[in-house]
Amino acid sequence: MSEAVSILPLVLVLLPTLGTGAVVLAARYGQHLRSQVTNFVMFATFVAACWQFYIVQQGTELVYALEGFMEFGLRWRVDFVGATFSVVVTLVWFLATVFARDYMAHEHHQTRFFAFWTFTLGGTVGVFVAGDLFSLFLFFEAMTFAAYVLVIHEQDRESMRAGNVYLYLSIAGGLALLGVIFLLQFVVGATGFEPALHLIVAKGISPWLILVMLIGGFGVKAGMLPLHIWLPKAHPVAPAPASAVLSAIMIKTGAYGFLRLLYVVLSVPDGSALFVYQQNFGYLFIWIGAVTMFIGAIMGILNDSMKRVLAYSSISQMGYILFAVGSGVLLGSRGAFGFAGAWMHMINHAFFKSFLFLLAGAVYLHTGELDLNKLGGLRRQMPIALGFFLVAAASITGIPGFNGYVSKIVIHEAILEAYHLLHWPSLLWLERIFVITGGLTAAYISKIWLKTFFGKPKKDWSEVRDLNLSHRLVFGIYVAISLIIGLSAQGAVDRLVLPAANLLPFDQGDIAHLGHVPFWGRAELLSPVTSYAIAVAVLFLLWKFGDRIKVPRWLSVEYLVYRQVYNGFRAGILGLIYLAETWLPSRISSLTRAWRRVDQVTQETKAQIKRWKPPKVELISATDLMKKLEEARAQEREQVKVWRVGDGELKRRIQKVRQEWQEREERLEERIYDVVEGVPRGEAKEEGKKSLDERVRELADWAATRKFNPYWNTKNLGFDAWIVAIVIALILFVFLVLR
Amino acid sequence: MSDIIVRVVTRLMIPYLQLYGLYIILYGHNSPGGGFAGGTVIASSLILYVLAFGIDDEDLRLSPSVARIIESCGALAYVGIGLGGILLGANFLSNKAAGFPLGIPGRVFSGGTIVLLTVSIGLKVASTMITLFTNIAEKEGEDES
Amino acid sequence: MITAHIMPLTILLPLVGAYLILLVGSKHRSFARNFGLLTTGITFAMVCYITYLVSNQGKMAYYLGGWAPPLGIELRADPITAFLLLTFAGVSFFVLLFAYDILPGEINGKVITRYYALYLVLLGSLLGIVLSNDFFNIYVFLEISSIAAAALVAVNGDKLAMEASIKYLVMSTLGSGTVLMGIAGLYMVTGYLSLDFLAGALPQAYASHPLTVLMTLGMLTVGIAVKAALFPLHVWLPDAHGSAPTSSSAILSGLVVKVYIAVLLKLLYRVFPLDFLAALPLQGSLLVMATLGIFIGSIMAIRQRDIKKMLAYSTVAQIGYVFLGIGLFSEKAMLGAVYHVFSHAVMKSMLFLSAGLLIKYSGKRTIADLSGLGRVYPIPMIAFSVGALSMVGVPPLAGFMSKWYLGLGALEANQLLFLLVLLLSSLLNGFYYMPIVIGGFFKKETVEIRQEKIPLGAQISLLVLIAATFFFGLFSNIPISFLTPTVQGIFSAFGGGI
Repeated sequence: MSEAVSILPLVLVLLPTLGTGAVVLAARYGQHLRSQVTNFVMFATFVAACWQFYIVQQGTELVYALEGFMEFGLRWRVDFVGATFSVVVTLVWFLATVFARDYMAHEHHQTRFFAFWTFTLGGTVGVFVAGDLFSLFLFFEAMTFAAYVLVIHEQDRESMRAGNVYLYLSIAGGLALLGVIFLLQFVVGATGFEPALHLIVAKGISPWLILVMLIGGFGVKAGMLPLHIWLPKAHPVAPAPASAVLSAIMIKTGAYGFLRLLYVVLSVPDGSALFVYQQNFGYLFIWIGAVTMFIGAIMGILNDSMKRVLAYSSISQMGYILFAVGSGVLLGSRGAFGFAGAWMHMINHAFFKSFLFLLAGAVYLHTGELDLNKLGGLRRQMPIALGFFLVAAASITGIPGFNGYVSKIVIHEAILEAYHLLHWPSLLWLERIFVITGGLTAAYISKIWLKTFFGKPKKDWSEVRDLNLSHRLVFGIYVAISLIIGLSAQGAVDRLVLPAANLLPFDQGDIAHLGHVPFWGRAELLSPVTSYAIAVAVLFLLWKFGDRIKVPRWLSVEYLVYRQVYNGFRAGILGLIYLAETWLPSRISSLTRAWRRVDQVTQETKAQIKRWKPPKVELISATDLMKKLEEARAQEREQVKVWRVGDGELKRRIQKVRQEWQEREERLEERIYDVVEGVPRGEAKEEGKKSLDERVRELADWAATRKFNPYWNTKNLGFDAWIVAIVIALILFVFLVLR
Repeated sequence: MSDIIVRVVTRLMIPYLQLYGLYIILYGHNSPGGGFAGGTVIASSLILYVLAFGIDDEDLRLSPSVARIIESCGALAYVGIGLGGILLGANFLSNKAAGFPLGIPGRVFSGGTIVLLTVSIGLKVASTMITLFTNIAEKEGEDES
Repeated sequence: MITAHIMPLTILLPLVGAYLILLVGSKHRSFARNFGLLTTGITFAMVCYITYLVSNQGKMAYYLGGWAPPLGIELRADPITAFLLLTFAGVSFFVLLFAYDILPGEINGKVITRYYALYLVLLGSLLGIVLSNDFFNIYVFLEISSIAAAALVAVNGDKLAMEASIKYLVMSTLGSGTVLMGIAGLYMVTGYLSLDFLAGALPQAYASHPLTVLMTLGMLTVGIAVKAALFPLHVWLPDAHGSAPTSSSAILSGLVVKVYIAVLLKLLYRVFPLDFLAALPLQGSLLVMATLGIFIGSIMAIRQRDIKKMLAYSTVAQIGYVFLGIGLFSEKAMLGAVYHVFSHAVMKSMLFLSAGLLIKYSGKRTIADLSGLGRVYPIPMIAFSVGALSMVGVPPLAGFMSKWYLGLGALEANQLLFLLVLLLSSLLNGFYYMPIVIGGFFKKETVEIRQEKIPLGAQISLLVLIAATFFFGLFSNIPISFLTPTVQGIFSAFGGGI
């Protein structure tokens, strides 16, 4: 591999980034010009990626560096992996753009959508051509934040909620990734993609810490369990082209990150003492992948909205990729098959998942429905869509001749090879999980096209038209890609995978083996039969007993883990705040209350003295005098006893109660709105039966009889509290300093 | 306090108080005192006047705008004298190095710039204290009525 | 001639300007505004010149009255000092530019003259603190800055602000008093007030009066911590910064709390030698307090409904970061701390200024009521978003660079825990900044918004601050290379890292 300095990677990133400005400018002159400009930018980026691929494929790695930029400079480095996937990214994005023109034609905020659409491409393609982890991080964050606008495009309640989960989880993931960058920078002095595990251990930092941060960073993006909770929320609420691109490409950045970090940075030669770490990492990833793929598939079967099923399908397919990554890492230098399977599936999934999402978008565009329970019998009105759908389904379920078959076989070979080499019984179980999940995949995909195109029509579909010409062209290209890769199975592997595998120090025998994968062997050809057999069984069960399966809402990672952690934290912190703001000052105030009382009485007495006028002298008997004195004393006692709350205080409290009630009403509304699968949630607890007026009246009565109660909040924090705080701080410092 | 005894005695005392304050200021570089102490004494004389004759007597009181002008001029005079040190070739606030005449130690006009600085400080402090007192006194008056 | 005397002139110019404004401004109303802006601008230019001189010739020293220390007062400028000066003068200028048209809407017309005079006095005292090399001179300017800052909070006379200002004043005075006692203690044992001479005499003083020196250090640190709002002595900050007029809050949060950190830097790194400090449990307490401040500040900020109070609590958290950087005693950490002083000044002023605009045009101060303003007033909302993203630590903005150095500093000092603290707190920062940004652009308006034109001064200052945030994130190597030699010099005597 020779290196060449070329500005092409920079151009590849700059084209879409600056193209955003062109899109916004063009939008001033009309929608038509804007869509032309967008298409042109996308196409130009695609051409640039193809040109780059052409150069890299001949054996040159392209590098470029911008020094002085942010202190370390940005680096670009395009090897075969990066170049290939750049082509995939730009192609998928281009096809989705062509599709999006009709899809978005009736949406609001189109310019904003297309502007951020283009910018996201800039960030995404930057991830794949980045030369070190720092540059990758920069583009990664740009991509994440830009895609947020795509996710919340509809701006309704559900979208904003989904956007929130996506954003906060992505920020957390980004920070975990930043932690990895910090550690690498500290250990190595640079964040390039070079083997670094020995250096990390030498500095005394635990590799598991880096792995955990890595999983947090890229795992959120890759939809790995248990960090996947944003995916089923975010991908369905985005418009279909955005979902396509999110599912197909953006989650691949997570997988790409894992590929680079696990195969290069955290890898060691087989014989090294640190190989144990690599094996453990790999094994962990296989399990994570297996759990992800299995649970994703099951959730896919149980859901009823087309896009949500496809979102869970993405999670499941990412599980496949992680599964393959793990098996490759586990075997070290013998892990060529795992790497090849992961890489191939990344490419294939990009194509067929965007294909599926765009098809779902087409169905939505023509029928206005995404709920599988409301769709049905569309085969008469949209036969061409059905045809395309069957091709996509064939891809994802791994029918020979289509692209999904190729990667599935390779992954299957990978896990079998792992078992043959290591003879761990768990690996066999993992292989079985793999096969079963294949069946589940077939189940949920078949469920989609069965429920959409077959069965009794639930609505009147007579007005529904089939796909228009531009959409047919787009889907035709997808079919062509699928068939080309699928039919020339070994050829695709030779051209797309072998050069990538040669970049890494894999065993030559394995690489040769990769050149002769038994794609057309009998056992392999029969594997889809197994899948579909399982699928038929599952669908049958679903048809018979489907109505009785109700997944309780609390049985999800979100509720079991995230909500509990969040509630725990919130309770703890609110408790602490209550302690500091209410309990502590009230204890202090009860100490100082006596002093204040004395103060107040002194003030009142002084005021009385001031107002005292010399009494008119009148003769009065002793008994009368005594009576008068008694009355006076009694009056004074009365005056002192009843402490009223001032008007202002009362008004404030009434205001506060009103506010509270308003908030409660809003919250109540929200809770009722929270519907799960059409079933309204049961117990919206009665927040109190009293009406607002009653409550206010109660409050007034209370106020009239109330004794003086110091009302503490941070605003009225008395002097005493700070003095105590300062004294304590002084004592602490002096004590600590003087020991 | 509108007692006649207080008023008469105040009227007699104020000139002496002010003279005393002026003495402290002018002899600040020779004996204890200086600008701050002397300015305070002068201010206290004016405060005594307000206390004795009430806040509303505008004739002999130091009005706020005049006080502000005196204060600003005092500060600016200080800075100006310091800059004079720069203009004469030495550093800021230079005294002998800039060539100010030092005179004979022990007399009023000795020590170079120190006398001028002390006077300006005295003016400034006096007017500041008057302003402070007037502000507080006026507010109190508002509360009472 | 100006070159030789540039340092005192820089301090004097705002002070003189303040008094001139008081003299003339009561008669001519617009004199205060124009002259104040002009003075601040010239001060900024002079500070730039000082920086240029320092970058050419290294340290600069100036003796007041021609008297050399220890008899006389010395003014000293070195790269770190010059960098801080740039921050203070520059941010003050742009905040005043912003306030040119906005201030008359926020405070009473009668007190505008006073406001500008106080502002200039504050600026002068800030510059004085940074430039002085004599401890008592530092103290004098410290007091001036406290009083001017407290007055800037209460200048409008509304009840809430006055209560907050009194709290600020009381606690600030307590802090100043403690600092004074510390200075007195140091003078007592060493007989010097000039920082260099103190540094020289300190080892011997410690040998003969160890307890006194330790107590002095403690008092100085506590006094400064009160004024710099280190947890748990920060209680005055939310009220003071939340209820002040916009430009006051910007200056207070951005600059005033930072100048006391500059004093602490001078104290810890110039007076007390580093190996001496490392032997004390000072590092532990500073780090613990800083971490608590970061978390408690962030958590309290999440709870707030009023946008200015939220920004004030965020300041508490960011001050925690700076103290973290100081307490780690490593080269990169100190770079990070100084850089964070600068970038936080820029970011927080930008946040406060844009929040002020948003409050002015919607009439409401609660976060929930600020939805949808981004569509009507894009520039303030974009400024707020840039500031928010910078606080969270998104590259390539300035906030990311300061966190980068702080993180690397934590690793250098072998304290991995504080790296995790840094990352976790960035996430918390996101929790309270992002909702405003999201709500501003993507939610529906909840209150009626008038469409008005934003004054030119406000627009320019916001745009300049946005550009500065980007510039000092992208090209941070320029200031960092300026600062690095000095920082390395401080630590090389110590033997490179703890």
